[in-house]
Amino acid sequence: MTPTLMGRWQTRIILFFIVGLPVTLLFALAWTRDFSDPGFTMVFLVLMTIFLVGMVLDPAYILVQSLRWENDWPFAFQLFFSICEFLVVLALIAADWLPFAHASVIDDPEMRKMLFSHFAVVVTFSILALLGPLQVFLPRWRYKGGEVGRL
Amino acid sequence: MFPLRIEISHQQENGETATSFVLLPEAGLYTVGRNVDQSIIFEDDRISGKHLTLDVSPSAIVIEDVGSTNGTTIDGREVRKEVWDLRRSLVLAGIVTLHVVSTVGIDEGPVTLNAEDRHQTIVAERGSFGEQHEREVQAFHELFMGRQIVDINAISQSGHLKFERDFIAIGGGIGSFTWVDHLRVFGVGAERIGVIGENEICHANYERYCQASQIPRHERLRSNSASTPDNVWGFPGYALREAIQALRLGKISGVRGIFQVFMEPVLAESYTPRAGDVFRSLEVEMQRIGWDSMFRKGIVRALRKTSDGRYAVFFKAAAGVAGEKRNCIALARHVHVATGYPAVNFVNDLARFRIEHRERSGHVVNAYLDHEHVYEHMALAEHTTVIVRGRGIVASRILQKLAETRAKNAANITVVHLMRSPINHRAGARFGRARRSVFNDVEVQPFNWPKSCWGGELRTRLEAMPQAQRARALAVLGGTTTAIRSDWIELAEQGQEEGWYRKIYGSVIAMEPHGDTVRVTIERSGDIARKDAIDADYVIDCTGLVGEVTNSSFLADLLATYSLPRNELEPAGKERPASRGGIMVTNDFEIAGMRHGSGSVHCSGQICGGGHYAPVDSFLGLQYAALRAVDHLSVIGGAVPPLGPVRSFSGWLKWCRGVAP
Repeated sequence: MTPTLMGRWQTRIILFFIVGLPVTLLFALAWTRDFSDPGFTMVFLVLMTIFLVGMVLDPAYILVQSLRWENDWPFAFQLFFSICEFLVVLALIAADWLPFAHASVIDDPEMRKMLFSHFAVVVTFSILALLGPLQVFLPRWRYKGGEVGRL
Repeated sequence: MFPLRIEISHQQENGETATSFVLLPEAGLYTVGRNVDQSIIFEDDRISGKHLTLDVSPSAIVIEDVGSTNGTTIDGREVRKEVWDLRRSLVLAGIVTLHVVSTVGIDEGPVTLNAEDRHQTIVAERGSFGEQHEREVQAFHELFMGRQIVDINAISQSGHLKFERDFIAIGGGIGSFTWVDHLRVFGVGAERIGVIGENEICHANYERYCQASQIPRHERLRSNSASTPDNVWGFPGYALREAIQALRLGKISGVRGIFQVFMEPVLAESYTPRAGDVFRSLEVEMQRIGWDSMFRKGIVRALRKTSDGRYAVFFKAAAGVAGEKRNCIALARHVHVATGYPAVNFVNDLARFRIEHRERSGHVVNAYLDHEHVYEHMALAEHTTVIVRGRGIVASRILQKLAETRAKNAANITVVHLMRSPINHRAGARFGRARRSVFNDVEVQPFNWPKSCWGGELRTRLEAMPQAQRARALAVLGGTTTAIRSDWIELAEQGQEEGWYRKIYGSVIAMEPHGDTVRVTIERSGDIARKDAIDADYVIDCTGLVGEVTNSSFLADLLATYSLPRNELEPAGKERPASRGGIMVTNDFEIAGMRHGSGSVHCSGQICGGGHYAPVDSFLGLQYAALRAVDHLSVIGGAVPPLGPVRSFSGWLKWCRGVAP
C-alpha cells in the first residue's frame, strides 16, 4: 500500500464502519449471547479506542513512510502497527486512563481472552479487506493513496 | 524464399539512429522514398521523394536509383541499376542503410519467421505502378495532407470511408486494450468501439520485447500482483490466482506468492507474475469483451479533426479481400492513441559500428532486439568473450541467460560486465528524506519507479509540480535500476568466484573489428590515462530503449499538424542519446490541443512519457491512464455512464463469472 495521510484517515473510517462495527457486533453476539454482558459493550468501546489511537498515530506512520524510498507501507507493517495500537489501548486500560474500563478488566482472564480474540478477528478481516475487496467497490481508491472519490 | 527481411538503420538529423525491419512479403516492385505513396517511406528531406526501386524476384533483387538527389551507394560506389549483392549494404544519401538480414536468402529455401523474429517490423506493400492506383493514393493523401480540419463531405464522397464508431483506439497494444476494457466495464457496447492496430493480439508487440530480452513465458516480469491489465480492479491479483491454480494441482508451494505480497518488499522479494500468466489472462479478457469484433488490422497514417466535430482516422488496412480498397478512413467521436515505442534506437557508438562494419553487425547487438544467434553460437563455440553493457533490469536478465547457457552447455563463456562507473553503496539517488539503496554497483528498487508513483504520495506530488521541477524529479526517481533477486545476486558472486564474470568501469571510446572479434577500447572511469582494449566475440548492449515519438511518422504528423507540445526531460547520460519526452497530456490524459467540439483525444503509454504520471508505460500505469481517460469521458460528453460502487461491484462479478460486460 502507498497511503497518504488523508487516505489513511479515510480508509480507517471506512474500515471502522464496514468491517470493524459489523464484525464486532457479530463477534460480541457469538461470544456473549447476551446484550447486558459487560463484555458486549467493552469490545465496542475498545474498538472505538483503537480507532482513535490509530487516527492519532497516522501522522507518525506517514513520517516513517517518508523515510522509505518506495514511500510505501507494506502489509506486514500494517499488521505490526495494528498490534501496537492494540497494545497501546491495553496499556491505557492497565493505567486506568480510560473512563469505561477499570484496570481490573485486564486481570480478568475471561475478559482478556475475549479482547484478544476480538482484536484478532477484526484485524484479520480488516487486512483481508485491504488486500483487494475494497477495490472492487472503490476502483479509484488504490490510485488515490486510500482516499475515496474521483481521481 | 519470402518474406524477405531487411534491416534499416536511419541516421536522423538529430544524430540519433533508428533501427527497424521491413518485410517484403512477395515478389514484385517495391519503391523507397520520401513520398507517402512509396512502399518504404523515410520522412527525411535528404531522401528523395522517389529515391530507389527494388525489383524483387525469387532469384535476385535488382536495385535502381530512380534519379535521387543524394544518390545511392554500395561500399562507397555510386549505384545506378544493378543486381544487389546481398552481402553488401545499400546506403541511401549516406544516411539510410538497407541490409538483408536473413542469412537464408534468395534461392536458399524458405525464411521462416516466428513471433520473436519480428521486431518493429513493417510489412511493405508492393508499389503497383498502375497510374490509376497512383492517382487514387494521391487523392487519399490529399484529403488530409496539410489540413487541420477535413471536410466531412470530402470524406463521404471519397469512397474510402470504412466505418464509424463512437470510440476508436489507435495502436491495438496493451495501452489500447486497457482503455477499451475500461470502456466496456463502464457500460459501452462493443459495437460502439473500434480498434486499429498492427497485431490482432494486444500483447504481441510487448511479448516480442520480452522474448528478445530473455523473458520467455515461464519467466517473471517486473510487475506487481495487483497490476492486472486484464482486470480493472486489481483483484484478484496474479499472486492469488497463481496460488489458486497451484492448489488445484495440489502444489502447496504455489501459495508462496501470497506471502510475498504480504511481506514485500521488506521481509520478502517483491512478487512478480509469470509473463505467460499475464498473457493468458489478457487472452481471456480479450475474448470476454469481444476484442476481435472491435479490431481492424491496419497501419494508421493520420488523425484529423472533421468539419462535423468528429475525428477521422486515415489508415492503411492490412491486405484483405482482393480488390478492396486498402486506404481507409474511420470516423469517431472520441479517440485514444497508444502506439507504444516508435522504434529502437541504438546508442550512438553501437549504431556507428553496425553501419560501418555491416558484416560484423551480428556481433554487436541490442538486448531488446532478437539476438538468439549469440546464445546459439556460444553453446557450440570453444570459448566466447561477451561484453554486457549497462546495469538495468535487462542487463540482469541477460547475465542470467548467459549463466544458463554456460551451465547448460558446459560452454566456456567469459562475461565482462561494463558499467560507466562504480556506485558507492551510500550513493543512491536521494529524494526528500529517502535514499535508494545500492547493491553490487546497481541502484535497486523492485519496479521502474518507487511504488508510490503509481498511487501514493509521489503520484500526487508529481502531478502538482511545475514542468521543470518535475523533469528533475523524474530523472532522480527513475533512472537505471534493477530488482533484488537472490538468484541474480548468487550468479554474480558465483561468477566472480569462478572467474568467468568480472565487472569493469569505464566508457567505450572505440569499437572496431579485430580478427574474428570486436576490439572494444575502454577508457577507465576516474583514470583518463588508462585505456583498456578487450577483444570480445559479442557486445550486448543493455542500456535501454529510447522512444522518440517523432520516429513514428503518424505521431510526427500529428504533432506537426496541430503544433502539440511535448514534455521536456532532463538530459540523459552522455552515452545515451538525449531524449525529449512524450506528448504533453492533461491530468486526465487528454491531448488538450486535439479537443474538438464535444470530442476528445486521449493518450497513454510511452508516447506520453515524462509527464505528470511517471509510470504511464507500465501495466498499472496504463490502467490508471485508462481509468482517468474513461472517467473523464463520463464527465465531458456524457458519452459513458459513470461507474459508482454498485456498478463497479456488479461489473466485477461479471468478470469473475467470465460473462461479457
